[in-house]
Amino acid sequence: MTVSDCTCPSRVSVTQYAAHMTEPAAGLDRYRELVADWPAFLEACQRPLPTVVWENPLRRDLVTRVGAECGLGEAATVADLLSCRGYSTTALDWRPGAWRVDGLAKPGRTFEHYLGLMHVQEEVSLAPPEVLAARPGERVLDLCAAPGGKTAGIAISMRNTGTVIANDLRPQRLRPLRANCERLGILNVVITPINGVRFPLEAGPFDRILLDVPCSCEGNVRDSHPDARGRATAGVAGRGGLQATLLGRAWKLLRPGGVMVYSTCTFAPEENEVVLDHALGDDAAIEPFEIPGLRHAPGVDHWAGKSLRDDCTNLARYWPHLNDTGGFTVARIRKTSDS
Amino acid sequence: MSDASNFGNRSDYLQIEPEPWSSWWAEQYGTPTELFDDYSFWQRGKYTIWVAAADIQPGAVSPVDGIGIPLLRTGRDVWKPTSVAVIHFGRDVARNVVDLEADEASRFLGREAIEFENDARAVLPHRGYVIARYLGVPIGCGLWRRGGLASSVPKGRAMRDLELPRA
Repeated sequence: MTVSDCTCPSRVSVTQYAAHMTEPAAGLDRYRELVADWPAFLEACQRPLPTVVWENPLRRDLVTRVGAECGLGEAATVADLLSCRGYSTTALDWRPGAWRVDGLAKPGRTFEHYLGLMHVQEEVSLAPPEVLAARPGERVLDLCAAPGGKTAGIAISMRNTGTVIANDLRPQRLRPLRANCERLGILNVVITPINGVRFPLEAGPFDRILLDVPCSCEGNVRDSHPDARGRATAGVAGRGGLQATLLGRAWKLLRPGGVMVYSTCTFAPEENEVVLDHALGDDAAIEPFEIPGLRHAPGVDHWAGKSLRDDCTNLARYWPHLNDTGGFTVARIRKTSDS
Repeated sequence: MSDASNFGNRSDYLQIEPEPWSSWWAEQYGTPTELFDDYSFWQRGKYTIWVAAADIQPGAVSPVDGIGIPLLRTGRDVWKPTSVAVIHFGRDVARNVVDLEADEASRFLGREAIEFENDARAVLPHRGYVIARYLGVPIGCGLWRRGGLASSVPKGRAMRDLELPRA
């Protein structure tokens, strides 16, 4: 059998996949037809991102104690602790226990952060763990896990039981992954430094997999951090091969009936719908989902003159102006059990 | 007890019995002996004991870079609890604990040593690792010796002038 005969997604080579890609266009103008309110989108991209923190439910008792010592009562939250030092906080509509905080320039230099009472994370990055909806006792893989905010969200939704394998290839990204998990008191995580495209199949099967792939990071357009700006310079076409290969590998690790969440912090259909269309077979169903209070636009079933899978419209694309967040795209995919 | 073959710089984590580690913690800090009942214990190399969820299953995956959180460093004559473990498991300690004032906590978190001469809190009888507490919550571990407390907050986590809530 030649490579071109092989339908197995993990055998797709980068060069082979490149044929499926369109040329990257400069800037965001290429998304005009996808965005309903273009001026609002452009305006949102100019604004800096709000700082968002969430309270760590595993440290609820410590928050209670500090709140009581500060005279705020036992029902005090992390937001109350920050408020009494002069920061203004606004609870997120769609996510209990998370707040936007104004004026907190260095949230990492607070007592609450040091103690793991809270974590700082871009608001829309809280969505993938919600969509994955992992349950206590399950076996879950986070294949591209660093720096670990989503890993922590998954681990906490499993109430610190079961197993989350948090994998990332690069050593410089493993350090923050480990530090965040340890600081937040995450006890159900196994950290592995393995190349995702060769992640051992014997480690599976997994009940759920989060595949938050490396991407061109267009959605970080509002992030003022120099690192984020640097990442965002990569073109949208260059990553599709790696993304499809990771998806093919992760698919083999997922049990029949299991759920995979594929997410990118980019808008490009080349890194989302086109990858899913290329790598997924008949044993996959992209499922519709809704997070109450978090608005999204649907995915596309055609792009750059090509038709894509019908169920690609079930993707959720979070444009920055819809919820005043960064940009993100999330797909929830079920492995049908008759595969 | 730990597997005697699990020595050296090996990268594998071996699951071990909770003893003597859980008893040592209960004895040292006066915590309930059942504190660690619902956890699993792991050892990597000779000197670090890790604690994780009871039902955690690494499975057929290698190498592994961490399971749960590190609990104890056992390489020296005095065993040292890690700061992350102190924060997680040091909530209801009865002894070998010292409560710090705001300025002391601030210095402690910046890795500065704190003197306790002529201080009523200086009740610890011997050299050993104690839990530092601020506003009733554990903030890290320090080495108690000759009336002073040397901060053991890891260099990577230590911060001068950390923003503190005040009572």
